[in-house]
Amino acid sequence: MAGDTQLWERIRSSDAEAFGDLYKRHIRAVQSYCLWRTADLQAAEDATATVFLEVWRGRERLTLSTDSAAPVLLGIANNVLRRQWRSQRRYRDALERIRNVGQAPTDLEAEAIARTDAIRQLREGGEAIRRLPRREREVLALVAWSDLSYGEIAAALGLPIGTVRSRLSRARARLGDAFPDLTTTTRTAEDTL
Amino acid sequence: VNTTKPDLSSLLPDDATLNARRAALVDTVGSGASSPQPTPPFRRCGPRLALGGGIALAALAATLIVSAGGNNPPKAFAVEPQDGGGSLIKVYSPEDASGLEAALAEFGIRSQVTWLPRETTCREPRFTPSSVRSPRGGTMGGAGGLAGPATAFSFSVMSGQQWRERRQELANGEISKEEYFSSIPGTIALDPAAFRPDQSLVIWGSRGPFRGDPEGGAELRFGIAEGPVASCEPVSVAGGGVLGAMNRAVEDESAQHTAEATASGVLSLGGAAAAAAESGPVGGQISPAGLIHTVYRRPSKAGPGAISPPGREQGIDASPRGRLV
Repeated sequence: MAGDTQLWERIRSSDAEAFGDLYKRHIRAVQSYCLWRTADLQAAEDATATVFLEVWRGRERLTLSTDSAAPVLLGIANNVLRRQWRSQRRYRDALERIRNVGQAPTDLEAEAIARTDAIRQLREGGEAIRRLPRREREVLALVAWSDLSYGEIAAALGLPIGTVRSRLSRARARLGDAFPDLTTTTRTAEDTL
Repeated sequence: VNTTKPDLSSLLPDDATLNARRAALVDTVGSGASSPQPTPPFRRCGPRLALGGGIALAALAATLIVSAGGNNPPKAFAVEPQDGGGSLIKVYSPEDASGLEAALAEFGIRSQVTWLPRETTCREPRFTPSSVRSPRGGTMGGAGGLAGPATAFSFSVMSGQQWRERRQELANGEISKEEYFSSIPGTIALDPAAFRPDQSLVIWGSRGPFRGDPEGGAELRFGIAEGPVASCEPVSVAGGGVLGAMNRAVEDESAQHTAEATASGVLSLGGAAAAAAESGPVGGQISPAGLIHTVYRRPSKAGPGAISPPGREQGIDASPRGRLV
């Protein structure tokens, strides 16, 4: 996939179509991250739409730190999720317009079962992370649930990379054996840097 | 990392949905319909406030300042993480009700905040009084009030465990009394874990005169509600309420003068200690300027007053935290 720099420049010039392309390019990554964080389908969809509305609102001052817009988008998602109630109230009318468009059918039994099962796994899988202190939770969630590198996570959260590492280390220590898969895989991710 | 991820494909939009939402989003931003919405008028009596820093990707400062609009925006409140855990929400001005609600919501405390024009309050009753355990011991409930300098109110969000640890350290001589009080700040302490799902914090109040400054003081009322809270219907307060009574007492330079307030109980804000509430209307005790006074009223139903301390906490209230000027 080509980088997002050119797309971003067009968005900064208020090109709504370019904004739509950015949405299409990153929607699944943003919504997946919001799903992991909230374990709630509606909350994740509203948070995802809010992220993109905030991008549009801040288009003139936001800048990309890498060629990908993913760190910026997930950094905004992190802030939106932190202040979800306030952020979404700001856009309640716009969210209503987007929310009611193109809802996937939910009356198919197989699909309903798949959704229920996925939500259950989300809730169970993320419970240990959601209990962590906020600063550690935010770092660990991006490590575990996004494809960002440590450098990109640092950019997303506006932190030095050393702080990302230290918070991750503390989070892993807290999790201990509660989430062995995650502690193992984050260790592996760190080792590959 | 992938080994820990379930398949989310059933929860993500399919291509048709994605394209439809993309079109709706483009249409929304292109038409200007994504402009931020004003908050409901009955919940917001002050100017619209903007979150300083917004969602910029820079690291958030340790202190999150929320400011009012205007060329020289005053601070409405600040959220300060505390070294020993928890946070302190300092209210600098009775403005930005929705912002304060959001700040409390971030800690898991549901609230309804209403800032009113001066010398007005909300018609009561508008909620069913309830009570919660205070993280500094005792319980808080019913309806209470604070009056004093407008910049002196604060809410401490902390756990009961945090307070017990500091108490133990004080008892062991590991920390001084001053260190103890500075470690559990706040004119009101709140433990989010103490709230049941149907309980919420209700705050309302207004600015008023203090020490000769027509806008220098504020009166703040608070209560714990059980169930729904009706919107505030502003009504005038005869004589300026508790703040007015306090001002008159200060002018008289009489620490014993209680003005119109029917003294049913007193809290000087020095820690968990509080006098047990008696039945009766809103009350208060007036003493020389520089102190914030808490008044309380029993809930109409049987239950504790605004703050009821555990017995062992009696007598701690001579703390320097009561002197906030």
